[in-house]
Amino acid sequence: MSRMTMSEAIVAAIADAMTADPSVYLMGQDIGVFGGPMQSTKGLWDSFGAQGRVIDAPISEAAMVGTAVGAAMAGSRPIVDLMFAEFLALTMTPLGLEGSAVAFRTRGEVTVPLVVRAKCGVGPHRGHAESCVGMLLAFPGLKVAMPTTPQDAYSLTRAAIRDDNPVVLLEHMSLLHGARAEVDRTLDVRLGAADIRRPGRDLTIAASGLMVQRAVRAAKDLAADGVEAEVVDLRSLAPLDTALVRASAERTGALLVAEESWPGSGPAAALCAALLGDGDRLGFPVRLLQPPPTPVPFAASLESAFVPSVADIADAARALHAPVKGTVTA
Amino acid sequence: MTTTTTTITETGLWQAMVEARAFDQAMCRHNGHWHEARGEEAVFVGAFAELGPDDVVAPHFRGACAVALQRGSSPATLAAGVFGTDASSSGGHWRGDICPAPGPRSVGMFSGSLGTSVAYATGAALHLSRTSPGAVAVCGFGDGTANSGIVAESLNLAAMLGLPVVYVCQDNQYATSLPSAVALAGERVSDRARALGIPATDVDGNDVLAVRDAIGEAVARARAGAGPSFVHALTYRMGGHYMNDPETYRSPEEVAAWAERDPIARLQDQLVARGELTADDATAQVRAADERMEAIVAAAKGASDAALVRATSPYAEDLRSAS
Repeated sequence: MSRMTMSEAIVAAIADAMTADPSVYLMGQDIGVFGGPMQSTKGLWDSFGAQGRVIDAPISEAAMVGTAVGAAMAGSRPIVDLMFAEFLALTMTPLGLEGSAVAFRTRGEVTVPLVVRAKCGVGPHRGHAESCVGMLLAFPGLKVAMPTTPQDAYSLTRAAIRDDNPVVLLEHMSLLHGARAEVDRTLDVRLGAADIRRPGRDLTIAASGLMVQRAVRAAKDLAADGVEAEVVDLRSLAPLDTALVRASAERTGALLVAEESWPGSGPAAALCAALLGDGDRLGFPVRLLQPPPTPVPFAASLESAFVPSVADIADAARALHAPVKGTVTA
Repeated sequence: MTTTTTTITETGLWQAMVEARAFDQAMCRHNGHWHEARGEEAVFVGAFAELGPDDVVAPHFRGACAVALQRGSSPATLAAGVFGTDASSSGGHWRGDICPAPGPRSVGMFSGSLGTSVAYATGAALHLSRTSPGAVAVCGFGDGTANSGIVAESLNLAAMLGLPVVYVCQDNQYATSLPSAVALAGERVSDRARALGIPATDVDGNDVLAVRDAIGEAVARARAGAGPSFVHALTYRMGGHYMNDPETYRSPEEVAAWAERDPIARLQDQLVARGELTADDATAQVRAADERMEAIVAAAKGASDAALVRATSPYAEDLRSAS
C-alpha cells in the first residue's frame, strides 16, 4: 500500500502492467523525456524508454490510434496517451467505427486490446474541457471508464489494459492531482461495475467524474437538512451498471443523475434509456441535471455556470426528494 | 535476410493471376455488389506473392480475396464470406469481399472507410519490429485512398520510427469516377513518400515481374531494418467501380487501349515464347480455373444462411464464449 494521487496511480498501473507484460507499449505526444502532459507519464521514460516502449508521437491522432489498432490486432497491447479528450473526435473511424467492431466482425477471433487515455473536464487548465463522451457511447464495443479515486484510477487502468476490447480512460483534470489516498495494487475492479460512494436512504444521485465529488459534497449539505442521499459513482460509462443504479433508486425511491457532459447523448441519456429499456414502469421519479446543449464556454464565470455545482445538485436533490406540488421533475 | 529470394516461379505468378481472375469474374456473374478487379492482378499478385506466414498482409480491397487465395484460404469459404452464408468465417457478421481473412497477420477493412487499413498495417509493422525482427508488413491501397489524411500520418510515423512496412499504391487511375491524374496533385504520388525520406519507386503495374522485383527490393530493405518503402504501381481498372457502373467518366477507346496491356496475357506471351507454357496448356488451365471458380461461386450464392446466429454483445469476451 502506498499513498498516491489519481495521476500517480494511473502511472503506477501502467508501469506495473508494462513490467508484467512485454506486449504493452505507450505512445503519445510529449510522453518521453518531457514526462507527459500534466506529468501523465512521469518516470515511464526512465524505466521503459530505452526499450522503445515509450514512443513520442507527432501530432497525428488518427494515426496514433490507427497504428495502435493495427498493433493490437497483431498482438500488442498498446496504450495511447491522447492528451485531451477533445482530440478523440480526430480518431473516431479507427477507434469507434472500426476498432470497436473488430471483435464482433470476427466473432472474437481478432481483438483490439487498446487503451486510450484522455484528460477532460473543467478544471485548473483553461480549455480542453470537452469529454466527447456521448460520441464514445454511440459506438458498440467501445468501453469507457472514468475513475474518481486513486484506488479506482489504479485498478481501472489495470483492468483496461487487461481487457480485450478498446477502452477509453477518461481522466478528469480536476481530480487527477487531488488528494493522495492509499492504493492497494492487488485490488481488482471489474470494468462495468458502479460503486456506492456514499450510502443513503432518501434518494440516489448517480454521477461520474467531477460530479461524483460534487454529489458527495451536496450529500453532506443535504444531511444537515436530514436528507440522506446515496451517491453512486458510475465508474464505467460503457458498459453501464444499470442494475446497481436501479436497485439503489428502487431502495431510495428517487434518482437524480448529475452529469458534466453534454445532454442529448451521454451517460445520463444512456442510463435513462437503459432503465426504461425493459419496458417496465419505473418505480421512482428521475431528474436529470446537465449542462445546456451548447459548446463549453470560455470565461471562467460562464464555464462555472455551465457545469452543475454542489448547490445545483443539492437543490435538485431537495426538489426531487420533496417536490413542491405542481412542479415538474422530468 | 538482405537479398531478394524468389520463392514463386513465373509460371506460378501467372497461375495465381489466372486463379484470381477466375474468382473475380465468377463473382461478377453472380454478385451485383462485387467490385471487379480485372486488369489489376499484376499489382496484388506481385506485391503479396513472396511473403511468409510471419509477415503481415494488408491488401487493398480490390484484390483482397485474391490475396487471401494466395495465402491459402479456400475459395468456397471466401465465397461464403462474400455472400454472408453459413460457411462464412465471420458467421455472417461482416463483409467477406473487403475483409476476407482477418487475423493477426492479415488486415482487412472493418468499415467502408478507406485509409485506416494503412494505419493498421503500419501499427502491425510496429508490433513486428518489437516482436519478430525480420518480419514485414505489406500494405496495398488505391490512388483514391492515397489522398486520405491518415495515409500521410501513417507514412510519417513509419519513416520516423523506421518501421518494416512496404506501401504499395495500386493506382488503377480512378477513385470511383475521379481520375488519379486529376486527384493526385503533384507530378508523382511517390514523391510524397520521397519527401519523407522514404525510398520510392514507380513501376509498370501491369507487369507482374516488375512489381514483384520492386516489392522484393523493398521487402528486403524492411527485413534488414532499413525502414519503410513506397512502390507506386500504375495499372488500370478494366471494369467499373462496381457492377453496372455507367462509366460515363471515361471513353471506350481508353478502356480498349488498356485491354491491350492485360497483365495475364502479357506474362503468358512471355512464358509461351520462352517455351515454359504452351498456348494450349494455358487455355486449358484458364478454362479449368474458370470452371472451378464458377462452380464454387454459383454454389455459394445459393447456400443457406439459416444457421447464422445473431450476437447480442459487441464485446470480445462474450463473442468468444458464444462462438
